[in-house]
Amino acid sequence: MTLQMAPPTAPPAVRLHSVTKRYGDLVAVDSIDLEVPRGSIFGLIGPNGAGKSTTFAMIATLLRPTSGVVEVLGERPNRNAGAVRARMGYMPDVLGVYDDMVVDEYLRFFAGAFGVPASAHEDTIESLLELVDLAGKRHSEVNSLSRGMKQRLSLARALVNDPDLLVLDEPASGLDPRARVELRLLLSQLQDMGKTIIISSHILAELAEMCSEIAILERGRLLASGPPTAIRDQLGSGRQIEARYADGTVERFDVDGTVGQQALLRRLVQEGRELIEFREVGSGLEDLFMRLTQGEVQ
Amino acid sequence: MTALLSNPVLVREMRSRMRGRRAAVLITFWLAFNGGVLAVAYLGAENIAEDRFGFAGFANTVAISRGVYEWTLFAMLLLMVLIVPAQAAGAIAGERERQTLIPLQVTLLTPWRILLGKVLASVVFLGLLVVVAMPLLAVGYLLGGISIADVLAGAGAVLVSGLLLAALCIAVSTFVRRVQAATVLSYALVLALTVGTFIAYGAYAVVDQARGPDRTDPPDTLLLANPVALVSDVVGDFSNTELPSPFDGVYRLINDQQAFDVAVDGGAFGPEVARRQDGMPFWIASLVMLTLWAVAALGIAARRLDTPAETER
Ligand SMILES: Nc1ncnc2c1ncn2[C@@H]1O[C@H](COP(=O)(O)OP(=O)(O)OP(=O)(O)O)[C@@H](O)[C@H]1O
Ligand SMILES: [Mg+2]
Repeated sequence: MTLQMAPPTAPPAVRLHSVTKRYGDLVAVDSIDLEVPRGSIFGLIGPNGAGKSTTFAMIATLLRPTSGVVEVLGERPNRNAGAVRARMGYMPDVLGVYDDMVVDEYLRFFAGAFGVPASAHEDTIESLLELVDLAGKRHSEVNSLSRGMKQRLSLARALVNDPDLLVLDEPASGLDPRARVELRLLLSQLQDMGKTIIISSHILAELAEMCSEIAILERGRLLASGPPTAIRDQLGSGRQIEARYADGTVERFDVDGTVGQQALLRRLVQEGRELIEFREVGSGLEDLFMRLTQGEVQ
Repeated sequence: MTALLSNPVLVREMRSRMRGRRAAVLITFWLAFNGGVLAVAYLGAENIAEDRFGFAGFANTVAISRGVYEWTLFAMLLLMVLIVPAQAAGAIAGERERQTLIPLQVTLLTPWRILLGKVLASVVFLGLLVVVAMPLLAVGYLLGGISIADVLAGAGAVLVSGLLLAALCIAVSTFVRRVQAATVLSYALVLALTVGTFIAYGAYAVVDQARGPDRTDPPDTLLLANPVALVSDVVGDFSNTELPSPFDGVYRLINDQQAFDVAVDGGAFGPEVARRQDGMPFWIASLVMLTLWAVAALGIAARRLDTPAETER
């Protein structure tokens, strides 16, 4: 995965400064600070009810924070929502679709709603459908698409205005493993096109591989943020190693960092075990995540 | 103007309304019902007129043609009042229910343009209903008793009433989550305007009567927001054909002060449209009132739809 370095002077794609959102007595988002570098894929992870969608809605010009400052692409969504909307694509966590509408009409409708000139609709839609691999479904009814296809259509919709920033709320939920891999490839393709992507999930492993930075959210509070490896080191998590032997047996070990991993490998080899595979499982982050958020799932 | 018509919401609404059988079924029913009322009105008017005036007099033809025209128009108004809430209540509540509102709100469409697209779609659809019913109204014209101007004025009044009710129902739709709730509220509102105001008027009259035998009637203002009163003022008259008319009763109610004046100096051929005492015809005052209500309601609705909001919508 490429990690694109933005020029140091460019403001971050998204900046949250002690942002709080209350619903009555409930603090859905509790004074969080975040910076999403331009060109990055940024993952927001947390259990159900952590405040991910609420945070995204504030970034996506839908919700006003109770206090704090949100900045998106150098603009304040509260003051100049239009400027943000013009350069942002937002995919909510629910997939609303119109009855009896064909894929082509659906995208045309949103292209129109973004002020894309009618003369450009044809090319825009063709290349978007190509990108999300729905070219063959152009004249199918939206309602007849499978969930994964709807998800991809929803992503195509979010891309219809060629945004600089993509805000994707749980885009992988409900996708089968193959579709997840495809989504990951698609997102890194979009990253290569220079887009910044923010994505949420409650499955850490899903994000750890593709995100250049992640933030862990729980009960509205930010528990940790930074590059996945840094978070792991910062919080001193152990790693889990899986060793597979020639006789087909599998053994798991907990090790401490890189040094521990080396020592384990050396020991197994010295012991003369017929090792055919030796690998880190999960990323260790899953354990970390479970520990961090233990028992506090709402 | 082009900006108005290139509204993507309007285009989408038109498409989805016209697709499938629903529109065709509705238009067929609309024509069948109005046509049925026309036939009954024709036969009824002919019978009554024959009894009263004998065969084939001039007054006979005029009476029959007026009766046919008025009853057909009344059927159109009645049906429109029933159709509009069902058509308009889903405008925003439906987007919410299908969870399509949020994707719409993060586009560059403003709340006003979204609402306007919905209202325009209603205009086009109701306009279509009125246009396809024109041949029915033309029967009255062909019978010779009413003019083209009458036909156009009546059809226009029904269309405008439907449109203003639609705008109000679309505004209502903005404040609810469920289409079902929006439908109930819209029918309640339309019922309050069309029937409720008459009840209020009647109640006022009863109370007024109880206080003494003065000759003041309840204020017409009570009926200004009533689309039936609006259409009645445009269509009704003081003609004494003794044929039952759906509009003349309300017309006399609104214009009774003038009834005396007309009877005294205008005679049987007095002015078609009586004036209110302040000089403004009732229907203009009514139109202004309903338009103000509709615009105000849409304004509040636009604020309700505006994002970023305090809570997700
Ligand atoms: N409109 C609302 N009114 C009141 N409370 C709300 C509203 N929206 C969200 N909440 C509450 O705010 C908290 C955070 O919700 P949010 O949807 O942001 O969580 P999430 O991290 O996206 O969860 P999930 O993984 O289930 O999508 C929850 O406790 C939720 O009940
Ligand atoms: Mg969520």
